[in-house]
Amino acid sequence: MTFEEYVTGRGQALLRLAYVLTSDPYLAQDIAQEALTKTYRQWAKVQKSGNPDAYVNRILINGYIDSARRKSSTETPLQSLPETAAVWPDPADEVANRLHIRGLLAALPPRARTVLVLRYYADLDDASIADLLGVTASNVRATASRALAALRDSKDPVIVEENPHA
Amino acid sequence: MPEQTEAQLRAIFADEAQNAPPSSAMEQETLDWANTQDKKKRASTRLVLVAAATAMAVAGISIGVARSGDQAVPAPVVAGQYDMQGPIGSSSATSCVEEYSSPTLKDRAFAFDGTAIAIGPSISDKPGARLTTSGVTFQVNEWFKGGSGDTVTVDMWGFGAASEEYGWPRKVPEGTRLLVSGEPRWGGSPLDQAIAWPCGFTRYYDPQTADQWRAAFSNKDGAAP
Repeated sequence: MTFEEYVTGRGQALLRLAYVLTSDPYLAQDIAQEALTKTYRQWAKVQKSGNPDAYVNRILINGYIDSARRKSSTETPLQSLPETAAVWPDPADEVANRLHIRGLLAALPPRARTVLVLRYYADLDDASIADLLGVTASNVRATASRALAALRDSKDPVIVEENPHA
Repeated sequence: MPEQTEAQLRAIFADEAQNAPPSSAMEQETLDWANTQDKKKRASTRLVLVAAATAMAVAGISIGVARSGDQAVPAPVVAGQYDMQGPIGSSSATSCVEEYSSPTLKDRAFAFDGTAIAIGPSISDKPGARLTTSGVTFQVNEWFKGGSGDTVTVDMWGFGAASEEYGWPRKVPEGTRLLVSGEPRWGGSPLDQAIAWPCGFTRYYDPQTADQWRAAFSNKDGAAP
């Protein structure tokens, strides 16, 4: 497979993953493109690995986490839930519930959000997620567990501690 | 309850994925950038090959080819399965100073069908040479042009770290049978510090291509390689 074939064959899937992670179309395109250009420089090696997606996704995820951390360091931390939570009218209301969860997701630390996206969007198992993030599978399980608990229970600010060595 | 949250997450992420922007612009920008990088790389390689071509035009030193025997035509070495075919020493990173064809093949100073028996140091590199080559010794199965010995050593460049980038095998295993043509690197007689040319002029052996080479060098009109 040539690099061109890979880009045209997998570009949309890569951009979708970037968009689900970032919820920002411009940032998604930036990090997807950066992942591809970095991959191009190592294309011979990536081809030999037989799994280009794993290589590209790892770069993409690192790009997302780095950009999210840079962003968070220059912005005022959330002191409370996004407004959507405050106006959540009825737990049975699916639309309102999703809005609420979207708000909570946006407030999650980037690594926790990444774990959820890889689990519930990319359908990766914990071992694969751990490999992509460079952590242990137990760390992935712990991060996912805390993030899910926060999403389920929170009417308060979401606090999911990031401890890659857990 | 946990299942409900997980189901909601799946639905939310699936919805978001559907709202992702189209990737066509990003793909095109990426491929344009990669194309620019390729051009830079080719320009760099072209400099190297032009330097080699220039060096070949310089008449000069007349030592360096290891030859043994002047008369005997050795029995062909059995090549086994011809599972490796086509040119070596060519890739998208290589800019060729001449395109491989019947007329350009006939213009090469030497050409033979040979089986690699050893790899050693270069016979043509000079201090500071931009092409770093290795001397590959072949048992010659058939001369098409430029020689008559049982064995011959010619330089081939691109071995080692750069071999895969330039399409050469990292190592020519003993017994690999090639069709080889090229030039004296610094000018002179055909086998003076001979160097195998890439870009189709050096290829894995197969009987059909060998027939075409034989015809090209024996027939004035030549068969198309």
